[in-house]
Amino acid sequence: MKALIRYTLANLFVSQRFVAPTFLYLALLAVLTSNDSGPLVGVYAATAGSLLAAAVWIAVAVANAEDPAARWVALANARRTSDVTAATAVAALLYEAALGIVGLLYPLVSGHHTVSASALGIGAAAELTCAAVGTGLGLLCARPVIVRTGVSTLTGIALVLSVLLIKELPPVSPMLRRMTGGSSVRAAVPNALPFLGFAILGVAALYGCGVVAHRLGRRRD
Amino acid sequence: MVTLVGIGKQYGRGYPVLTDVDLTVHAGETVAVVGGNGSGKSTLLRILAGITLPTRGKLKDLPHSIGYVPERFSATTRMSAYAYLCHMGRIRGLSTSQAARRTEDLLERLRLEPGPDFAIRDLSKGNAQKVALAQSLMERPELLILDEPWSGLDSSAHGTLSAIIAETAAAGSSVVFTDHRESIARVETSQRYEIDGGRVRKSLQRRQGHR
Repeated sequence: MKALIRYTLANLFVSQRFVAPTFLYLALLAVLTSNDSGPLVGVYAATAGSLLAAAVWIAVAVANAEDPAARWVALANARRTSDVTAATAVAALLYEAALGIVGLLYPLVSGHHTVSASALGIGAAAELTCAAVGTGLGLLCARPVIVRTGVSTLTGIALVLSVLLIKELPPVSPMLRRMTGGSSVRAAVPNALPFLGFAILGVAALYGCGVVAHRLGRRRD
Repeated sequence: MVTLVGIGKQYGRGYPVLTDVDLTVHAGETVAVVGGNGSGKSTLLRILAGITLPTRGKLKDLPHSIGYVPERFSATTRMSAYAYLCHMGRIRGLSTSQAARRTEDLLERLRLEPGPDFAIRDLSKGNAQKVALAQSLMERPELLILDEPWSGLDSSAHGTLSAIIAETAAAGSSVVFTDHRESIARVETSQRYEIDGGRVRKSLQRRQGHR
């Protein structure tokens, strides 16, 4: 599994497909968080939302960095075909973790905020939730599930908007509303405990999407 | 012994690619599957390699270690052949030094041109095919599956490939390969199957000689 993750990351870097989603994320970060002086948790809602969009694209980039013939070879060599899907998800998450750390630290230097351990913890949980959900959605929009670039792009955008805007759909939308004070909770720093729940839900969503993507992929390859 | 029973494959609502395929491969056998373009050869091999699932039917006793060589290894990767093969070796469970040694041995035997440090996407079709062949042999597979392995290879590589197939079978592994009718006589085969329109039948011609 370690060898597969290493190969998948190496493929991502030589393909340079990580550049565009990284640029999108950094641009969103600069626009949404620079010179902000509101509550830190509210800013982290913006960075987590940005990471969600970038994570979908990154997962697609990781999965599509290999052409079909190279993926078939990797599937045969991996022996357990589910390991290939898992390696794609883990490689994407590792890259997104680096972006997530930038998202946690950048608002501290670019804006004026009261920093607390609780706010940082909530920010980290929110980034993990969005990275996990985004990666899961990305697996559903990438090869071998969706082959055509246009269909993949439109599906990705529709899925991102759905999880951000459908208020009742856990975990992303309820979590971001809680962070921006859109729900009944209006404390400057909300209770951190529910965010652990959101993160667990996010990882569960990634697992579910991974299983679906793997099963569909094995029929379509 | 690998057995395919009643295998059918259909992508989405499209026409059936394979219909009711029965096929048995014993240990140490070399099996040829002969058919024209679009006859379903490649799909059959991907099912045999465990890459894609059949829509119907069963695979029995699929070995743990399978080497698979796709028909067109038009890898778009900028990764060098050397780095790619080392990665594939590690994925198969070799250590980094074992994978490096095996890569060097295989590339020397297959005479990869212009060299192992060139990006796979910049290699000619035949040389990319050599990389595809090398990755399947990083560790001796129990079942070696080759999809039109001769296409694109130069004549000196033809001899090496035939020797590799013979060695693999002699070591007790099974080899299954596809090709067009005219190029089938390059290795000694234990069984031949003809595939046409997604249906497979055993060919009566056995024991093809060396060319």
